[in-house]
Amino acid sequence: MDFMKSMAISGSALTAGRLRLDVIANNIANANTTRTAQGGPYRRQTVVLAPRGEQVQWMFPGMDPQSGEFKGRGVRVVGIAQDNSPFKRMYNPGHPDADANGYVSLPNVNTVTEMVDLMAATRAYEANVAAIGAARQMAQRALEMGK
Amino acid sequence: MNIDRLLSDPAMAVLRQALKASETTHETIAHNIANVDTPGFKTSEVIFKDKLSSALNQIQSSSNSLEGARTNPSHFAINESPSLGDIKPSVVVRAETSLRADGNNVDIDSEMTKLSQNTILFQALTQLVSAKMGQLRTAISEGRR
Repeated sequence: MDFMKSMAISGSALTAGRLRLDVIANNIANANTTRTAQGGPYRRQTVVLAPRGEQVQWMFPGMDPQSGEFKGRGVRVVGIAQDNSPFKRMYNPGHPDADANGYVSLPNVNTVTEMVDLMAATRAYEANVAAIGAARQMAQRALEMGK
Repeated sequence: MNIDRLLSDPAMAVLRQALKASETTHETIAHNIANVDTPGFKTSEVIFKDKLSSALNQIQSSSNSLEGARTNPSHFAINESPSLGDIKPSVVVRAETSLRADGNNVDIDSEMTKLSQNTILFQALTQLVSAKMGQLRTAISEGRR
């Protein structure tokens, strides 16, 4: 049944959305981390999203005329990228990670940006849950046909 | 009325295609919502209503005109009325607009509206199918409940 496919599409977005929330939470948690395994302060991370399934070309019908199917399969995370913008620098000579001039490099995480991203990700997640709810409702109606 | 016509009447064929189109519409909407934050993504849209109404118009206009018989598959169709069961939805990509700086053009509000519209449309279609079946059942039971 096609509704299973619709639910899989929305489900892929839920998986991607959860990973996105994890990465944002990790950024906020490490907003003040000055030591990492790679050395230096923590770098902000972002997810890279890409559509799943066949990419339809510009103005071309995305439908195979023989099978009459939609080829989109949702979204996926193709990678977690590092934000290479410069670190924040704060004068704090007493800090163990301060350099010769007394400056400490802090992560390039802006908590306000992360909170805004967090809310956007939450809303997107809710929209996908609504799409799954609609698919479930439609599938149930389809089962009740002719009763 | 023969038994084949009971089960394959044109209204039923249209309803079947419309239900399929509604399913495909739901898939495209779910895909659009899933990619609401994918950079460069362009929305897809299902076209079915226009195709169906133009086919219905064609049938109406060809019912009182001469239809050319096709004895060879390479013959041109002359006033041939389209079969309603063959009308399939088609998906187009709306690539000409851009809503945000990252090239994505998913309008989440319009997608959520289309989602609820499509759900209601699907429910209406299932009720029509149920009504058709109910008529059949009434005929079978000779009007008794």
